[in-house]
Amino acid sequence: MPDITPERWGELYDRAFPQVYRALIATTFDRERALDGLHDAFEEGLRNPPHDDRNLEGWLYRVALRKTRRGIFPAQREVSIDAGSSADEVAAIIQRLEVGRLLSLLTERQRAIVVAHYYLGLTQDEIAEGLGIRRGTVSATVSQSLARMREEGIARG
Amino acid sequence: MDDRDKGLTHLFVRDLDEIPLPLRGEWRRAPRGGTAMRASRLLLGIGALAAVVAIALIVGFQLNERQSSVAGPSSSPSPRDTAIPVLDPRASATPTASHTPAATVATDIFNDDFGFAFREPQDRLTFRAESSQTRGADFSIGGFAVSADGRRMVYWTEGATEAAGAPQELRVVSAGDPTHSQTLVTLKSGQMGGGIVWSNDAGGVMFAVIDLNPVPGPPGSSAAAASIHTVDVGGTSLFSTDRVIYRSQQGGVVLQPVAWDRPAGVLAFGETGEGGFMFSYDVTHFSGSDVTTTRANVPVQITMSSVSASSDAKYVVGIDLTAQGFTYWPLQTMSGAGHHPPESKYGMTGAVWRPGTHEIGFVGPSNQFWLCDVDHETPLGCGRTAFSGLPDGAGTRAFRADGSAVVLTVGPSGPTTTYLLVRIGTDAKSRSGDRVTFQDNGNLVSSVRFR
Repeated sequence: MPDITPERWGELYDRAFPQVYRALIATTFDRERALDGLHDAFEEGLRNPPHDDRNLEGWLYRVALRKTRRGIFPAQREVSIDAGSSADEVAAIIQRLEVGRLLSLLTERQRAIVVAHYYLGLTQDEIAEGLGIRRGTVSATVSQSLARMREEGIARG
Repeated sequence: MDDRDKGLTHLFVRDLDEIPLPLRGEWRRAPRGGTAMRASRLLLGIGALAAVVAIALIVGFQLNERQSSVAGPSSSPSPRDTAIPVLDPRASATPTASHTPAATVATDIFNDDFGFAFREPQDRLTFRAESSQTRGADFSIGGFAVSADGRRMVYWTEGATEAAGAPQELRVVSAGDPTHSQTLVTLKSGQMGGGIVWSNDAGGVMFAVIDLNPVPGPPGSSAAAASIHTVDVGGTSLFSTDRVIYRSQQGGVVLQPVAWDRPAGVLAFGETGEGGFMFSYDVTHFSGSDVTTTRANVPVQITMSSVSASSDAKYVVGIDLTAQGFTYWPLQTMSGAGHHPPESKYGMTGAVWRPGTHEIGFVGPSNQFWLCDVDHETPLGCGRTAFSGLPDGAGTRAFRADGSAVVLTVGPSGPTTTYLLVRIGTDAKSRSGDRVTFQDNGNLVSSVRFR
């Protein structure tokens, strides 16, 4: 696999942007943080591109999440979908989604796991490694989100 | 993730792909110091905030000067305070033309012997009486289940995460006395509580436990990651101990309790992967001290989260994505794909068991609410219209715990959800269709019974 050149990196980034941006929105409920994280991940890719272009969405998501947590607010506030980002039209869109009901009841870390798994298609091992948590935690979070969806009739039809 | 596990992936992709993208020009920014950029943005924000506060203080001072001589202060109600029950103007629209309800007031429909449970952010669950906005109880919990009669709730306490560390407990509490809970089970370190269901006689609880640290082993060996348990729950005292009924022989499998017919000695649970389709329907028979579990492959795509049992645990219903409708089967055996009555394809906006009956409630054609009585299915179908006049997009949420009313969601969801509580008669001649709308910030998940 040849090295990823800056030009190639730009193409790959543009191709992955829509899916990763949406995943970050669903995780952070915060458009600014999602864009900041992605921009920082883009720069990281220019400096230290991934070894290959396989699962680039997963790489960008992990790096962007890590970057957004290293911002000037080290312990990022938990943005509530109900109140915190009411000015953001993106929050209103998420509220209308069926899965938005589930996401709004999870913590940001739980959302990061569920979105990575169900939307980006990352394996539990990839999520555990990328987010720096145990595989059992990933498994339990996915399992609990299933139970939560059952409680609340999400995907009931 | 194999094909049978892609149900929830489909749901997430379908929904999240609707999030609009920023303009192309915002996708990238020239290399910059991200932190510095955010810091300058913060400084600008602080400056703007200071200016706004200063203006607000000046304006507020002037307004206060004017109002103090005219009238007393008017409180600004919180969103919850604004949710005043109102009668829906469509209250006169009933399915039986021969019966037009007399003028109905909201208090005729609300019954404060009952209440609602709401899921709130931050893993909280709250109760309120039907007609009141005031919360009567507030729990910090994981999963939960309300008994078939609505009188009691079992729930997992928070904890057992890497951050919290405290062992999780399964507790039981009475809806009428939510301040006193009793611990049924305390999990071990490294375990986490899963799904819960009550037995049909409310004398026991079946629950799943997830192992955070599955025992590693050679391929194909028993690396139990999940298990099904039961515990008996007495009226005023607790008896029996946590009993392990089944352990998964495969890591990554999620076990989901479905129903427990305790007097008959039969329980059922489903197995799913991480994607959400039930790939195995498992039935356990108790005979003395013997416990026998039979697993059966599910040949169709039934979402595990849609599977629920009638209050007497005799029948089970689920949404079958292959057939685009609901399907039902007896608790003790799921032969093939279950059974699809003709009306089932209308039930894609919800298929919920009406307590105390074998009727499945769902929103059917022409914006009508249907009840499918599985005991009286004919070749022509099983359904009857309970009431009509529902707005577009209405979805079934929960029946009142005694089955005498149903709650539906209406309108787009948002910070405040609009619900419709509709009375259902006990027979075809009884008055049905009287309704009242109410709003709440919480996500209504169940009916409870206080008295």
